[in-house]
Amino acid sequence: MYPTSFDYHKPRTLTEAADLLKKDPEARLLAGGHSLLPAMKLRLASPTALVDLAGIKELAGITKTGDALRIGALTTHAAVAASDVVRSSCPLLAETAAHIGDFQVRNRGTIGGSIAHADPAADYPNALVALGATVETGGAAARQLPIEGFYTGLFATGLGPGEIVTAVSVPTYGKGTGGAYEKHRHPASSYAVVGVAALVTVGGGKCTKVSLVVGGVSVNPVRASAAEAALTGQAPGDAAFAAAAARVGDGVAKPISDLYASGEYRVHLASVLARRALAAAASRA
Amino acid sequence: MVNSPSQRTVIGQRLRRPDAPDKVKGTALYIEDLDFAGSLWGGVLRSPHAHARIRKLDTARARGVPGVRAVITAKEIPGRNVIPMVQSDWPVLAQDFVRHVGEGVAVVAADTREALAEGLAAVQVEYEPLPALLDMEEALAAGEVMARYKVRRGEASVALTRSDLIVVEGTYQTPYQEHAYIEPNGMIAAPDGTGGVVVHGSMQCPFYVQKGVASALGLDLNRVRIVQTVTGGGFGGKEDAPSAPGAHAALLAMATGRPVRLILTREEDMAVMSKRHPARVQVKLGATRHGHLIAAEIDYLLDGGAYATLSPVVLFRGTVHACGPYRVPNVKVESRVVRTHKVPCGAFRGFGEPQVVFAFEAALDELAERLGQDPLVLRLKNALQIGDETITGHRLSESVGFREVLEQVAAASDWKRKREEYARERGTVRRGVGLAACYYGVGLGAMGKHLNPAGANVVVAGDGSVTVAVGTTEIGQGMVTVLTQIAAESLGCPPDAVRVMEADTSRVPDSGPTVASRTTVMSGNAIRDAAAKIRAAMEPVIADSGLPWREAVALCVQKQIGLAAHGWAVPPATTFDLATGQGEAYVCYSFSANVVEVEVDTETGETRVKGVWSGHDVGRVVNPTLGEGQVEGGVVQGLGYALTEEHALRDGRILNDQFSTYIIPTPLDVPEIKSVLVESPFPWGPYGAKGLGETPIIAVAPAVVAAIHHAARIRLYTLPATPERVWDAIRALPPPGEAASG
Repeated sequence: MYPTSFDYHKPRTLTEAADLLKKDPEARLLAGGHSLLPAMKLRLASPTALVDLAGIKELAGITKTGDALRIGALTTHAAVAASDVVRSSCPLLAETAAHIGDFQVRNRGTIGGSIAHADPAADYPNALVALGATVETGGAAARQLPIEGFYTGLFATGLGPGEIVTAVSVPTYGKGTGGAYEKHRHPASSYAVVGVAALVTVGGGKCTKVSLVVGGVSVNPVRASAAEAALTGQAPGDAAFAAAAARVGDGVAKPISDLYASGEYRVHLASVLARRALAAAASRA
Repeated sequence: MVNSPSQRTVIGQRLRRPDAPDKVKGTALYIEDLDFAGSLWGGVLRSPHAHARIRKLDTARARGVPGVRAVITAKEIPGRNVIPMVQSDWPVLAQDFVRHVGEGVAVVAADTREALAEGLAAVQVEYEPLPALLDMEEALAAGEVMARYKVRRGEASVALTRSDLIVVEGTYQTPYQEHAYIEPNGMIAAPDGTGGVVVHGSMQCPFYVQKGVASALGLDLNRVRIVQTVTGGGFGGKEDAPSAPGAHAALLAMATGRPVRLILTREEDMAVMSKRHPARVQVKLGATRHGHLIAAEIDYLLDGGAYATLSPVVLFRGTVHACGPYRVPNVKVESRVVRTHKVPCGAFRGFGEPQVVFAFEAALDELAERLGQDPLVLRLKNALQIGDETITGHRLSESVGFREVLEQVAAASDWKRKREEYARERGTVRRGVGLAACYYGVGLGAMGKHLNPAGANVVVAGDGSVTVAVGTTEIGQGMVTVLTQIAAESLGCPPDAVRVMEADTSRVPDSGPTVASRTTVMSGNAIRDAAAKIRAAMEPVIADSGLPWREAVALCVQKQIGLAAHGWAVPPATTFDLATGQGEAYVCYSFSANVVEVEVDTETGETRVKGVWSGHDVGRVVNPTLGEGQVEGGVVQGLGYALTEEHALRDGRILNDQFSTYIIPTPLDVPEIKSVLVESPFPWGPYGAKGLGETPIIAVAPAVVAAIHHAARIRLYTLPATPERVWDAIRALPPPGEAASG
């Protein structure tokens, strides 16, 4: 289908962008457009105006300061996947970016867009929650929001009106810690039917710190706390990973069910993928 | 040199498709690319209900919408409100009742897309919803049977009680399948200025659309000109179904006096156009301990949807092919297609065979396991050979290359080694190979013989260029190339002298429909007939002159020899007794077998297809590249049927009407496909050729499911084999310890 007609703006500054959003509550921000434009063509979204962020230079780029990476909101998935600094200091994020969608989506889609869109089948949020990232905003409000707690429901976040994701700050990790991302991709869209991000720190023959986040099963990424607790303090090994992964469903009250996969199957996939992700993460620690 | 027809130089060559450059460059003109000056936008108001009485249908407000030029309902149709197909039950527009979600209630033409949307929304319809039959078993119980057939051979029920037989039994379910042609249906109709109409569009069978449009407008056929535009795929979906949008566009064009473009969106096309029939098949199959098939009982049920379209013919083909290409002395087949309040199902590549072949081949695979026999050995033991009879008692006297097909795909795929080696796999991801086979009666056979003859006009111009006019169509399958080769071979001219015309009912003879894997055989033979007449006229002049083609033609022109002829092909007679289901159902059969190799993740249920070896006895390969193209395309469509494609419905409404939710294979999902083309000539066919259009899709799904069984030890009775279905079956397996003891 064709989208309904809309206005198009390309502001040069965040303030301009925020003003445009304030003036027209039905306006939407355009970053890579790979979720928004299909939604408009299906008439699931009919914004009156698009505010294209591409002209705002400060939103691009990857920098490393101390033990954190700062990734500008307009950085594409392909750029993150190919970035040497991301691959060496936060390989889980690069691995996740490489799993997103297809070539076209990775070349156009942006990390800021993915964070703000809050699609339950997105890949990035799972890894970012596992890594303990912080969302930076600008425009109507300039805040630093921990990503854990940022998501408030289906396609819903804690962003206020006119508030724009400008960057995400991601803690780096090194020797002793390993990460892995496992997903069951939807065969048509390559969205994560289920996506699992794991980060495991091994020291003295034990898993000392475990971060395990599951996406696609609920409307927002879910931290698998019971599984994390089950593995923490255990020696890495198949039995320990399996025992921990079996607890992944504990935190999921009402799993998503759709034409492609039932809730029960999603939870099963989450458990299988969690075991594989934990094993892979621990082997890389 | 003018080649004698006995010196074959063109048949069997990989001649490049004449239509390829335009399609590759994007210069080919599909229906959406055509622009007629002053054309209006046409659209259809569709029923939201599966079954309802139309209490009130008021178009006054819609007519008043600025920019709306015409609103037409059933009562404004000047001709008959019926699309002529097998049964006269399919209305052009709903009258008094709607019988499926998406049924057309009114058509509107307007100046702009926006005015059209507004006009459609302004049509006031008051529906009284009625109870809807949405389940085929309930429809059967309610006696809503559109057509039924049977096959009676020997004493199947008695034979199946024999104590020396191993008997397997199962109930199989198959889903809807979308044609997923790359181009949705679309038509542009315009008045011709002399009281008639011209309709351009995407279609397989222009002469079907001509009948549909003429009937709706109340015009003689010679007042309705149908022009097939470059067509982005059909697969059967543009056989019967395009008559509806054709009639809709033509009604609006005649009412407004302006060209009207009526092109469906993908979502609309998926929601309302025809599909492969969902089916339920019960199979009971018995063999001796040595693996000789003795008896089969099959109960075959199709969900026809709201209107018959071609359902009875689809059912007939499935019925007579129900036991595959095997000798089975005792057979009882009962088949029915029932009427439900859902989208009408129609023609689709394979035409009633994929459903029943899935069931029969799956049962055969289970039988092989019960007998402890290699599935290949079991099939070879029972394979039809020359001198054998099909289950309809058709004694095969020629062109049966089935054994060769089985042997060659087995050799090409390294079947025996993989069968043994993969059976020992114990890991999480396990490999497996599966085998399945089918045969396919070429052409329209006993049920459609009045439609089967084909005409061809061949005209040689003074410069030696040749124009071939046939009523069958190029729909991407390569017809133009194959018929160019046949024309060149039979005239003895170079292929680059030949042009096969676009199908236009005012300029080409009716060659019957482009269906049933019949085009190469029927149009090919009609061309050969015309070419033989032209050659006969040329011979006395050119004799042994040894002149090149164009000089030979010049000489004939000089001698005032007419070089144009009409060719006509009528297939050998068939006889069939519907009371017993015995007779020669088709004139000849193409045979096929596939080996499929898969990897199954036994924890997630995901299946990856690693290779397909697809063998086909096609009589004679006219163009190997196109033959391989048919095989690869059909196999991919079969893999979708096997693994991902199905529709979910709620209250008769299709929920997944786009490719993000209706999942077809992409190049990322498709493994290497090896075509194995076997030549067992069919003497009546052109240069020995049979048909290849459909065999490639039919026996794919059962081979996939057999491979999944080999890998994961699960039997699936329902298609498609989605990861969740595979996982469900795996978790239902008894734990390994119990399996060993049981």
